[in-house]
Amino acid sequence: MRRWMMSAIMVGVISASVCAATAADFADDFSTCTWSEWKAEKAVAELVHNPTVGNKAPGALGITVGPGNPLGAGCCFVRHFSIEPGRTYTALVYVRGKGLAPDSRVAIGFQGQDAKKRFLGTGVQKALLQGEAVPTGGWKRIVLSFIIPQTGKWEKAALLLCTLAVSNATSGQVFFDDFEFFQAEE
Amino acid sequence: MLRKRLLVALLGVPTWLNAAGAYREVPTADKLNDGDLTFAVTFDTRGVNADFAKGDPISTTMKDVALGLRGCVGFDSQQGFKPEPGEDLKFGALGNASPHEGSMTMWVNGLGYTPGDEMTDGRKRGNVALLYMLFKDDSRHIEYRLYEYGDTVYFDWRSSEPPHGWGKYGRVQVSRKGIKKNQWHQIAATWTDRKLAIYLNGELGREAMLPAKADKTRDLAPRAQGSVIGLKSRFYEDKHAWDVAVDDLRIFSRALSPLAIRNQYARLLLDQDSAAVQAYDVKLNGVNTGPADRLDRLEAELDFSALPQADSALLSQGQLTMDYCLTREGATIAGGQWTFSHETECRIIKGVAQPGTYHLETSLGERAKVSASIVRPDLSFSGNGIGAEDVVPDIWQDFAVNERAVTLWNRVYQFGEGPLPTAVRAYGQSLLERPPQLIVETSRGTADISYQAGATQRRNCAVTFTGTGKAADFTLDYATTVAFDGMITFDFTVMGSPEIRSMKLEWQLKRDICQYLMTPLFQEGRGPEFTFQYPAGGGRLNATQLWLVSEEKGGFAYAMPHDANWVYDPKKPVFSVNKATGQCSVTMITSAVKLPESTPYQAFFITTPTRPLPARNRVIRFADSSRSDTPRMGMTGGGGLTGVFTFEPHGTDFAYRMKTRVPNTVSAYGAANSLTEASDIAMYFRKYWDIPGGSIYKMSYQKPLGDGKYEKEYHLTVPACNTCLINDYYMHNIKQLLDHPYGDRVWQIYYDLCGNSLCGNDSHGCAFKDKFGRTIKTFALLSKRKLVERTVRFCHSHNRTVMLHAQRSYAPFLHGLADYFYPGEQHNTLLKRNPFGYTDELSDALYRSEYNRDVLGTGVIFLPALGQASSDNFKPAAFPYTEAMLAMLLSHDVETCQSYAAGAPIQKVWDALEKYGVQSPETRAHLYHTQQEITSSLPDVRVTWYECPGNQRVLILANKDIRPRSATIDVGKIASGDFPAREEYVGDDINVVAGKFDIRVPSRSFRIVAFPPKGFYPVEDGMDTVWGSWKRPECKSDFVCDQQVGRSSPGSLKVQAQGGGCFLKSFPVQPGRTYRATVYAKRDVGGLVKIAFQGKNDANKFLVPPQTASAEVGTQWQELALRFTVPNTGPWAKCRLLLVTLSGAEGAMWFDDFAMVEE
Repeated sequence: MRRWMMSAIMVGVISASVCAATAADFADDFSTCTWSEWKAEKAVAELVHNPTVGNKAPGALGITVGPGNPLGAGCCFVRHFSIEPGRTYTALVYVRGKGLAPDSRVAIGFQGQDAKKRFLGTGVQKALLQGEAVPTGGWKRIVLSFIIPQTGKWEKAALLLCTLAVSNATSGQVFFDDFEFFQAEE
Repeated sequence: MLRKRLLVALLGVPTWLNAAGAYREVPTADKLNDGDLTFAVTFDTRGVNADFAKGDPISTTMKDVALGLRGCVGFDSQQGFKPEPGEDLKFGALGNASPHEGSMTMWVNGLGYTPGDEMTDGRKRGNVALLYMLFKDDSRHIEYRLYEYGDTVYFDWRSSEPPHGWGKYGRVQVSRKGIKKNQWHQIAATWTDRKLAIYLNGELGREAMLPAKADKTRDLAPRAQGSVIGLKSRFYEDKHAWDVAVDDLRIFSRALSPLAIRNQYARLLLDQDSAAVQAYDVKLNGVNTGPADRLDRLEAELDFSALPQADSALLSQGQLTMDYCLTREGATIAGGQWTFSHETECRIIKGVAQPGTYHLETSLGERAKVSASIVRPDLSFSGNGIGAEDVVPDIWQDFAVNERAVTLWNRVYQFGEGPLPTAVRAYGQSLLERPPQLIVETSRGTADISYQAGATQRRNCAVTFTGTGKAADFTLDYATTVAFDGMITFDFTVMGSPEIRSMKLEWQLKRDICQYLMTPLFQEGRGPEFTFQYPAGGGRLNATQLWLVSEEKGGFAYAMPHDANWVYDPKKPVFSVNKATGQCSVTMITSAVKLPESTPYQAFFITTPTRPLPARNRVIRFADSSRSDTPRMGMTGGGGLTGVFTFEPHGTDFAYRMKTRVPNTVSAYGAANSLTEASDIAMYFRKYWDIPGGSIYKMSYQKPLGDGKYEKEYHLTVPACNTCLINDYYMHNIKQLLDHPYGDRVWQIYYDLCGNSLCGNDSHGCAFKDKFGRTIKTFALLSKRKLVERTVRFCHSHNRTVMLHAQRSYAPFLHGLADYFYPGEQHNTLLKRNPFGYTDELSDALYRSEYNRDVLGTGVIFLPALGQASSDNFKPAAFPYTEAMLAMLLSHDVETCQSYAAGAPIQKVWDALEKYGVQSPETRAHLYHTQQEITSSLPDVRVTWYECPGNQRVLILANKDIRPRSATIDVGKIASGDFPAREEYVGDDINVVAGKFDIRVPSRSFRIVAFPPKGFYPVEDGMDTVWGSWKRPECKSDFVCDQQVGRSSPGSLKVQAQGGGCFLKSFPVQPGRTYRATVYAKRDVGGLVKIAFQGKNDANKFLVPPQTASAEVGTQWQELALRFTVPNTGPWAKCRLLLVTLSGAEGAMWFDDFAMVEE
């Protein structure tokens, strides 16, 4: 009855490879890459920093999937942010793509972790674009905001694992640029 | 060898498992002696490799593992298997099992825990994997998972093909209540491309149809690589933390019948008397083949799949004879002898006309006897004709026919000699660039069909134009019926057996009505050219109609009942729409074919909107938890009814539940095509009413025990196709409901499950062979429309409304008859992952199309889904999510209900809008995307405003952006100069200077600015409508509106107090302000009366202490007053509502002429 949780899959893989940013307000134009990456075990994908592609200026994170990537094998860039339950956090990023199937997904996601970067079983909050809605000739913004609950599984959340992900794709290319993370004005 | 066996015997003693001994030991060879067997692992040879396999018998993961020392004794005293931590027993699936049909039996034993218990030591066990079968080809797969969770074993079907998510997988389950720790029990499951079933110890637990998308993998040919059978191999979060032993997994190539499953289990029992092996099986079904059936027939359904060899030989020779006798209460109804030649056959028995228990005795001479019984319920509801009268409901009274012109509400259809309208006007404007035409291509080219009109048949509710068409190679007869709501049913029959190259319907609409394409899903993000395949599997995501529609200029739609006699490639599109030009086509014949003689076709058209909007469209306050005088869903869980979905009032519980409800406030919850297994009528007609593949849900029912006590029962739903007598059943009961002494509480009849579903049941004719011998399935459009039409006709004649729910699938042919549509529930998945989805992921166009009453043509009550996504979303901390939803709904003038969203924000909005009269039919809405009178300095702050009676203006300022916005709003064009206004959502005074004011609107939120400002108070209530009431379950007090007694005029609230309780009503308040309430009271004899204030905050929590005032009153009216300043410190500073309660000592008392002021 319970679903696989991404956290369950990811826990062993990325815990050793994270870079922990801790700013509440954060912007990254991806002129360089300070993010870590994660791939499902059987994923056929390459995650790279592309210095020539960009939204406002050159520099973006790119994921090239496949060909032949298993549909269930996703991959993502990851970064941690310090958070406090009860606050509202927003992340946004601009995306463009190429060769994505209409039902593939490009997403920005949040998962809760404690101060020791242990997953709390919060599930994944995410905002996504279907492949058919990812522009090939321009950039489109994806936004995710979430009020960190003060009770339940999020109660002990100290870190937010933010993911920039591609899933349900056998092939295609996605770029991420001009990321922002901030806490909502109260 | 001997030593090893001895060791096993010794080690086996401590782990000798319960119920070993209940089953006989079967020689391994016998276990493998079945012609349909494809795979068997018995562990009898103390290894894990298969004892029999059509494919590879060798385990891919544990081929060398020996079990001899593991001490696990199986169900039949031979070896069993319990995996060690880390072990996954897997085999290749190719050849060993088929993804498309099969059966499996396996034995399971919960060691150290009780499978029949939900939890062990107070904690849940989680998912425990039992069997996994994965069949893969290159990119697709089908998988089956057998696993336990709690006390239940589930058998799931899933596939790689979209759509995914809730309702898109197959599932059956069986409870293991009563199965004990260490008790061997057998799980069996069967599967086909359409259906799953699961059994426990030979008894059927549940059957279920697969979702329609199973059609997409029907051709899947599994490859060896990646196709797996996993026995106790882990999936989900299972880590073998719970010890489970398994034994004798057997997989068969066909779906075994229930009898075969029962028999194979029974043969294993040591005590053969406890479950006799049957030679054959008999099941009785009530027969109902359509709406006008005599209902005096019973079907005996016989299964001979387990016959002994001699009888099986007779059967194959067509010489198996059976004696039968049907009796009712001892009296013989029918009898004689049948002869059979097939493994499954049915026989019809007539004369089953009286209610009662019918018993069928059958025998194959002395060799075998099998009997079956069935309860034939009272079916006197059939043929009642309620709501089916040939009377046009009032709102469509414009329906008129003049020669070949049909006048409808807001529309005119003009017909010529032919079958389809030559002109269509809505709102006084022409909709058609080119009228619909039937275009037939033959070897000579496009056929020139010369039409000649024939007779016209007129009924009150419809007109039928008939005529003929002549072409060089064929003729056709047509009959076109226009119903009172504008639905056109176009029937035509092609004669002359022509060879046709293609046949299609084509039409072109004016461009200005091509704003939205709804199929019924709003098509966005693509176009302008759209093509769609025929929706062979039905389904909510497929195109079942072509509807081009605009926000204010109407629309034109096409749909079909089925694809009978269509000739097309199912993988290629048959529908095409060009939104830029308005051109539409439906190609029914795409390749050359010689039509059989007299080949019929049917198509539907309709112009929208189909009806005037209902009187109430704004501030309906549906499900408002702060008020008792507003509509809300009732009778969910069958409360007050004889069962879930029956609409039949319960003998006592309906009165008990409805007595204190305010008249005209209850939306009676039911389904358009389902009952439950608790209904004897549903069970009697189960086979004949079935909708194969129809959704099945587990419904709870509050079974009344009397005195306000209930026992919760769970029943599975039973689909019931509207082609049958279910419509008569519903209408009969709805009449009872409204005729009931407390029927005046009902405001509305509500149908859940009211989509245009597909039915493939040949028992009642929804599945049939067309002229080409293809099996055709039928959409529910016509049969369900009949139910809705009858309900609307009946309800409107009784001043009630009708609301329908069909997720996103609004079909104007069907839902356009009702007063309200109830969309929005489907967003629960979106909101679960992104609770700001209403603002961040749903397009404006979706609100302007699927949720727009001016597009649909019926009232819309939006159903929030935040609470379905997470119950945390009801909490104050999560109010921003509900505010985000409101920002979108308010700016698009979409009415919401409170269900599944936070109550406080919605109630505050309703209170504000209601105060200014936004709900008035005279109010005019000016939406942000069209209005130009009021401007915002920032485009992110949208302005939608209402022009209300009394020169009141209400502005909705909505900001869907992720950051707050400070904007200057210019209202100078509608109100110049300096004047006061009021922000009503958070409560701020605003000074408008020279027609402008500044305002900050939070991100994804809104503000409501109104002028001239208006207070909520004073409130005066003549008490001629009953207030809400509260009492403890054991209390017997009565709370009614007494229309005979009153102080200033008749009508007062009466309490007959016996054990406590009170009348109650909520009023919005602001901390720091003083409120004074007065009410007049009297009693039958002198005694105490009391008025009290209880504060409530945004979280709906009570604030203490309550404020009270009481007085001794006599038999004359006496004023009772209570004054209170709501503190603006401490918990009271969060007070939002004052709940006024009226009560008193035991005995009768009356309250009248309530008033409340803010000082």
